[in-house]
Amino acid sequence: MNRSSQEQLEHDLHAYFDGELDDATATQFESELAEHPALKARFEDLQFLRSVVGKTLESAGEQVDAARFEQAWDAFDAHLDREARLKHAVAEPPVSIWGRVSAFIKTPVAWGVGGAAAAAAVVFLVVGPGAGPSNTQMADASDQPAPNAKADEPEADAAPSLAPSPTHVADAESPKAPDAMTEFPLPEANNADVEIVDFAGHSGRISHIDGKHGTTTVIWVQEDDESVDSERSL
Amino acid sequence: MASKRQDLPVPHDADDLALVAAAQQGDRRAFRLLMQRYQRKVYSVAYGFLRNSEDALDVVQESFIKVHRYLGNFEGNSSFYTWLYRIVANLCIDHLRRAKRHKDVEFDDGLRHDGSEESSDVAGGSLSQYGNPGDMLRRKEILRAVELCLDDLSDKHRSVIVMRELQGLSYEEMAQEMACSKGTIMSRLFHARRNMQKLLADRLGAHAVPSGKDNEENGGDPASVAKVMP
Repeated sequence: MNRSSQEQLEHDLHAYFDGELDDATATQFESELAEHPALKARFEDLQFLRSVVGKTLESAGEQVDAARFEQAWDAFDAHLDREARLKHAVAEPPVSIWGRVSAFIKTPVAWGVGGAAAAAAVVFLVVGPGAGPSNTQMADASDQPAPNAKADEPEADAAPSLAPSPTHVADAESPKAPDAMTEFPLPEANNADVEIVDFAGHSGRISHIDGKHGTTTVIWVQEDDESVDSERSL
Repeated sequence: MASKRQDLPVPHDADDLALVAAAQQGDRRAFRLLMQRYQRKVYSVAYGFLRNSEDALDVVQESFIKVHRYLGNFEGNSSFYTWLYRIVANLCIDHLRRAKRHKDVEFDDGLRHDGSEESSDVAGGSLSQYGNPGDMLRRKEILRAVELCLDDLSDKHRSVIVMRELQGLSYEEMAQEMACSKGTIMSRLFHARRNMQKLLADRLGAHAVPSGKDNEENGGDPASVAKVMP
């Protein structure tokens, strides 16, 4: 048998062993196997090889601890959960800017901020631009004696001084020097409600007065030099 | 896969197609039952390809994900087992390509056919003389020898050995996985088996020789060497 036919026979042997020959060729090859013991021995070698390779690799799989597979399952479950979250996020339509603004307006925070802004705007309009009361009120109070910015009179009916406190509600702008506070009108005697309060570690007095023109209310806050007990705290 | 779940849970002993159908409807339990049937075999295949336990476990996990993702495409034209194994082979081959191992230098088929005087007979005689793998006395030694021989093969040789001997893929399927022709697969498998047989005979044959004196008396006849072995 020449070399090329020997090689062909080898290839046919492998193909027959792997079930890749068509029926007619397989039948012919079976007769070759029966006639050539050496060919039959090589067929048995292929069977041996397949057997030991299969057993070796299956044995490797049997030796793996079950916990390692459980780890793989845990990672798989985490992967699925992650994919589900991503899919859910993508499925939701993007919210427009107006949608976000509308949603924000409905929140209590928005109402609080809006209310405070509205109150500040009202005070600003009434009091006017600057750190204190409006120009109108300044004119109205022009005949009032200038307040003592550093007054520390504890009397409730006395004209309250306008100490430059950072908690001054009527101060729409940055706190001014004590001297500027003297421009603010003082409440008339017996015309102011004064309460003593504690606020942010300080104490002082809140007094409010009705303006000459209607129901406008102006609030002064005077800070005491020393903290005193008060009826309530801010 | 569809998200609708079946009303009744699939029994543990349901066949593969029933579990596939349930899993395709979103039954995660059915999917897990299905994959747990084959997870060790998947590991065996991956270990055969990659020769590394951690890499093989990575492939097991990747196979869960890939099978879950593409289970909707499974139409039942082949067994689930065959479909799964092709996915696993694909993952392993991708893994090998990424790892860029350098054991393929001999993998030019032409060199193997260039007038070599190499006999087609395996050195040392027939492999089957080295004992029955089912015999527990020889089993451990043989399995160890096979492990070492698989390590010595190139990635391509080992791949065709695993795909054919363990997974039972056809030549056509192997050609698709390795992106080559059927003829190349046949040639590659022929040489891979020859290399494997030679390596195995060398290892088992070396252990089979008890002493030099005995070997002389027996004239180095492999058949008689086997008789000396316990």
